[in-house]
Amino acid sequence: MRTVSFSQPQVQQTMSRDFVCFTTSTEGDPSAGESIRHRPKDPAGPCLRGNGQQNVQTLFLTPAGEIFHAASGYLAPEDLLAELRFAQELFAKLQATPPNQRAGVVTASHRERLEQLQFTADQIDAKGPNLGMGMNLQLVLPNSNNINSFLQGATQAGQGATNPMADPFAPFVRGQILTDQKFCMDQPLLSASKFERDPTPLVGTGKSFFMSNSGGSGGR
Amino acid sequence: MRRVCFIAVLCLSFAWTATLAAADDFLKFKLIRNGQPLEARVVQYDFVEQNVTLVSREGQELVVSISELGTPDKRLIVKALERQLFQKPSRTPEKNPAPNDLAANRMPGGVVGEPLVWHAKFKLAAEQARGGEAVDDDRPIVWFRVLGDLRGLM
Repeated sequence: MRTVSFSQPQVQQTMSRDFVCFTTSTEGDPSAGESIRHRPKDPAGPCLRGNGQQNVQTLFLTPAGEIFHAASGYLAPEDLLAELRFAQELFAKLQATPPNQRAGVVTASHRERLEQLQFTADQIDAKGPNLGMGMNLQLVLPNSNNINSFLQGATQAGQGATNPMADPFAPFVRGQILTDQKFCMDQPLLSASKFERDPTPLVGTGKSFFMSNSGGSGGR
Repeated sequence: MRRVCFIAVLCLSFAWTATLAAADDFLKFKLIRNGQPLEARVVQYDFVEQNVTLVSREGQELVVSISELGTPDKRLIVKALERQLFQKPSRTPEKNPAPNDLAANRMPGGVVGEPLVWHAKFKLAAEQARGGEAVDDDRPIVWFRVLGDLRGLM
């Protein structure tokens, strides 16, 4: 994400102008996955949206530290821009909402988004932890440089991912999107500190290992 | 459960067979049709319905349920999908490609965005997010949690 998404000028412009950026390391966190370390200038390998959901999470907070949106795993620039737009719109709604109704706005907005992405009511209302958790498909494929172009249907928040013929990875990507939105619906405006103590409602309790096919120069 | 198993086979086979070269799109399936093993190519795979559309050498289209196929035939389908999805680009690669680092992410015309400023302390981020007296001036915080160091090894 650092090499590809955070380096994209439109992403940089949007994040600098409309957001305040904050980063923490999950090193030592039992819920964190594992990965081959990369230096800032290591080449980026192909990656699916949502890959490495235990390694990276992008969360959106109010200035009071309440989480109102989350996207776990890798986000390509266009996916990140879509998430930024959604977060901006939802934040504006929250600003205009009385305090006692804000949690409801978060839940309703995420529900509406899932419906727009053609998730069924059964999928949205299913109970249980990490119901939508996509298969942890980490791509370690030599000669797989066509993945990103192939995965156009899986990007942009999964809008094109409803056609499994066009995109056989769509179920995994959509599963991750469902997990992220449901986390926000189930725990609207969860405090960042509480999340930090237990991120498993979002990232699950499994252990993932992330490696891109570009390898890594740092080791872990 | 069957679907999960097949997906697992699919993914593992991607890793195992990723370097296989495609010589011919037609594959010899063990599935018997007209008393002969079927020789066909995969034209579509439906993840939801769990079926695959094959076209035989004679041009006949068949939609076959994955559950009807044995493991060897499933492997052939994985191989066919892998060929379709991960084949090398047909055009000749650039001779001296730019390294895919920050410089390689410049937009056409040489436009480069400003590097992002990341706060390491939430308190400081929150102070900046509170824009001023008016609530309208507030900005949301984007919190990037990462295994490692965003500025170094990650």
